[in-house]
Amino acid sequence: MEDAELIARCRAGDQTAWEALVRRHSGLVAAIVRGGFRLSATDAEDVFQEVFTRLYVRLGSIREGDAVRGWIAQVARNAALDQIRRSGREVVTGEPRDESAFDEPLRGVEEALSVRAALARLPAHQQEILDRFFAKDESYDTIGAELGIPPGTIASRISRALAALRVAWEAAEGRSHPAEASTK
Amino acid sequence: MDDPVLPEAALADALKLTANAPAAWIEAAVLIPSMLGDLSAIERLASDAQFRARFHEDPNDAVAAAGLIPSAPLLVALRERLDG
Repeated sequence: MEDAELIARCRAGDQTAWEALVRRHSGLVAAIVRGGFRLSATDAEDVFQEVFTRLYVRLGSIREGDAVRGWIAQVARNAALDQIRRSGREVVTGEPRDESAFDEPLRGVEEALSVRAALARLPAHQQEILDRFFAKDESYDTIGAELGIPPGTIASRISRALAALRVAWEAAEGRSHPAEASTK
Repeated sequence: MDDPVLPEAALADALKLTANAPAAWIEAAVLIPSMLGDLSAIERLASDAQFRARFHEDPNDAVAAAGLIPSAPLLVALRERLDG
């Protein structure tokens, strides 16, 4: 279901549509506040809730439902910057001060999300081992115990899965590694 | 020229950066409509000039004086409605 339809249903009071909208964009907001602007866990959660509260209040006035993703990203960016300013953290990224410099974290997040999307195209066992090791920060021992595989083979499995992820991401982005392109 | 590929270390960083939001965050966001209640109450407050002036001076006090609990979602919602 497209965002526009979800928003229309939210306006009509459909709680399941709201939940679907939150779940769909939760990764984007979390990536911006945690990864992009590196807020503390507490600040990141506050901004996360603020973004979705603002979205809920604005549901009635969003004209182009399909543009909601960009709207959410901008609100998350601005709310993260406000939070940083309130906390007294340095936000100057270069001289002269250029507001567009604060968009750099958003660009990094967009690329990272494209990698996350490519992950979904890998076999389940490769998705799981990469997610456990890199996103959940689990140890070899934990991964081995949870997945029932010898810890000694995990490094090589991660390496193979990363290589597969690179191929999947490059294919999705229309890019190809020079060495591989020359063999085709 | 742009680097045509992302090194695998960058892919790993991307996975770290896009780890799923904690389930508790999502569950709390899902509850925002019930936390805020009827949005028409927010609209009524937002259209009240006296409330707006009081809110800009002291948001918590203004909301409490209106007979509401100044929860974080309500304060954010009012700011969005008044300043957005």
